Amino acid sequence: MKASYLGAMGYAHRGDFPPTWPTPPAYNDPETSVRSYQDGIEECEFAEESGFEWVSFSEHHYSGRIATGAPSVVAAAVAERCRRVKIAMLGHLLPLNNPVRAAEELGLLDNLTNGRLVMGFLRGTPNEDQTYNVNPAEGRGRMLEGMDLILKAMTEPQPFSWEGRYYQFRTVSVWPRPVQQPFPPAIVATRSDDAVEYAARHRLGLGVSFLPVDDVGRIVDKYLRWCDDAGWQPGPDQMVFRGSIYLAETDRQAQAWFDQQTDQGRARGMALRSSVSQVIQAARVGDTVDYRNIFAGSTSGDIVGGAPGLTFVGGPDSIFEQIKAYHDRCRTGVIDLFFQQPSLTHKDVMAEIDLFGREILPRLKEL
Amino acid sequence: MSSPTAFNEGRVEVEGVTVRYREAGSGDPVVVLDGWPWRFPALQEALAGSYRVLEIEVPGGVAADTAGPSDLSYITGRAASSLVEGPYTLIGTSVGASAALFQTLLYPDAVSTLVLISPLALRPAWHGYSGIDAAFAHPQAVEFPEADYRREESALSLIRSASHDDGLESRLGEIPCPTLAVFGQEDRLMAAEAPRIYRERVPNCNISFVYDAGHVIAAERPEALTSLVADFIQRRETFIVERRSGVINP
Repeated sequence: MKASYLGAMGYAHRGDFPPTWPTPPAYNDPETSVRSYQDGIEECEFAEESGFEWVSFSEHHYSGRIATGAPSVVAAAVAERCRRVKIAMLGHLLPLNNPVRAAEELGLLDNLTNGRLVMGFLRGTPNEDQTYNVNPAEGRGRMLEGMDLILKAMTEPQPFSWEGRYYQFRTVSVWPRPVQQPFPPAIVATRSDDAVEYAARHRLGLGVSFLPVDDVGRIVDKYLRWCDDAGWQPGPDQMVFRGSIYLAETDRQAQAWFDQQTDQGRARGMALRSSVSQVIQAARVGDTVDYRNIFAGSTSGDIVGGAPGLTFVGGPDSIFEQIKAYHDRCRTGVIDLFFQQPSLTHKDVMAEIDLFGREILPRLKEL
Repeated sequence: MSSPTAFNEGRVEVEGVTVRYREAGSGDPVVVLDGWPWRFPALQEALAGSYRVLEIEVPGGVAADTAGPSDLSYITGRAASSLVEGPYTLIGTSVGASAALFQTLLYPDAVSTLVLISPLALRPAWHGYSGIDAAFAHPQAVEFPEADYRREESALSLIRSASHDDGLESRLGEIPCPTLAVFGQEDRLMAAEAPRIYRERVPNCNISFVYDAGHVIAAERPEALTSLVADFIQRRETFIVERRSGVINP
């Protein structure tokens, strides 16, 4: 089993942010911001030194918690400092992006890393739709079409035009071609049946995030059944799970920290105004909304995007067992870990990476 | 809702062979060689709003045992020339695209614009599918104009009869007119490399993929096919230039 370090590049004072999304730019001090990115890159380097085999990046917007709105830019910077790890783009939010642009960025990254790229495609949390003004009801269709277009753009050696439902391009001729042919390893990060089935049918890997082990297991069961129908089975590097982690020297220390976070209301996701949240959620599942019944919500808002709590909490032995459960039940081959909890400092995170590398990674690699 | 465009049927004699055709609309002529037993008319009906559309029925069908596409294209080309004056746009679909390619090579001055829709002239790839479902990305969603077992058998026969033509491939460089070759992104009836051959060999060729469509694009994405082909016929190779305004509010 392999471990992946999520290069979140969180802003140093992210623990002071209000719980609502988006985080106002007023909270960003340029000097602190520059230092935060340098710290984040240093964490990626240290993760590589400590035995992590992937460093991942994820597109998230308008927040300093995961401060990688343009993940390709950060990935390119880290790839120059980390010369061995896989650079895993987990990944582009396809409904928000021009798929041709995404294909160009991915092809370029695979060249800059000399074939160390792993691609990931996902839809994004409900709040993300608002970033580039995408109708939440169309997100799923855009993601499915976007994946087809990216793979076509990476593999078609002659210029072509594309007549889609959401995208129309009369000249597509992506340069450079990826180093890894026909295209770099690709993961579809999803919980939805149609995207899981797409991954199986196209022989792509599966990524699932922040769910309990049994829930992930049920998704994986469907994926493996559909893979079987398509005449193949995924390898361990195609089974990815992303979870958040707090690792301490002992279970007792970890629990004390977690209890403190809960008391302070920090173990929660990002919030939107409740009226906005209602409309987005309804649109995503295809329901209509009677706007006459929508009233201005509280400014604290409702949690959206699954409000993930911590997936892994404990000392080394407990964390190993928690991760092993995903390996055993869900056939997870790559565990992608989000260390940068809001209240932690750069020094705290470096200590966790060190402890993880010494006490857990050797055992994970035996799985 | 507008009523379907009325197509009038007619016949023309070419060297003792009776060629049937359907006609609608007025304007510059568009000749269609449809190689599919079911008629999915959205494209022809839309074009008839701006053009004189002539659907020429290939004598004996394009899979006739007695004559190949190159022989039949002599007949269809003569029929087209007798029905229209001056150059025309030629559209060939599926196996009918083979006849359209030969017709363009036989009558290069007559064809001003060539559109090939799911052409099966190069690298057809029949993998022994058991039914006609293989021709569609979503067969369960297709509404067939007529549920007819014989048409299904005819369609299967047509697809199975398609074979790669080395001679035709070697002559693609002689096609002088602007050409558009359209493919369903999920067309399983031809090899993946087939589209790029047209782009590489035909001097002025654009290739286009229609998302979420199989071999019979007219059945699964008729609006996308119609807008693409209509735009190409109107603007030919300049169809790649965007003309729609991006202004939201002036």
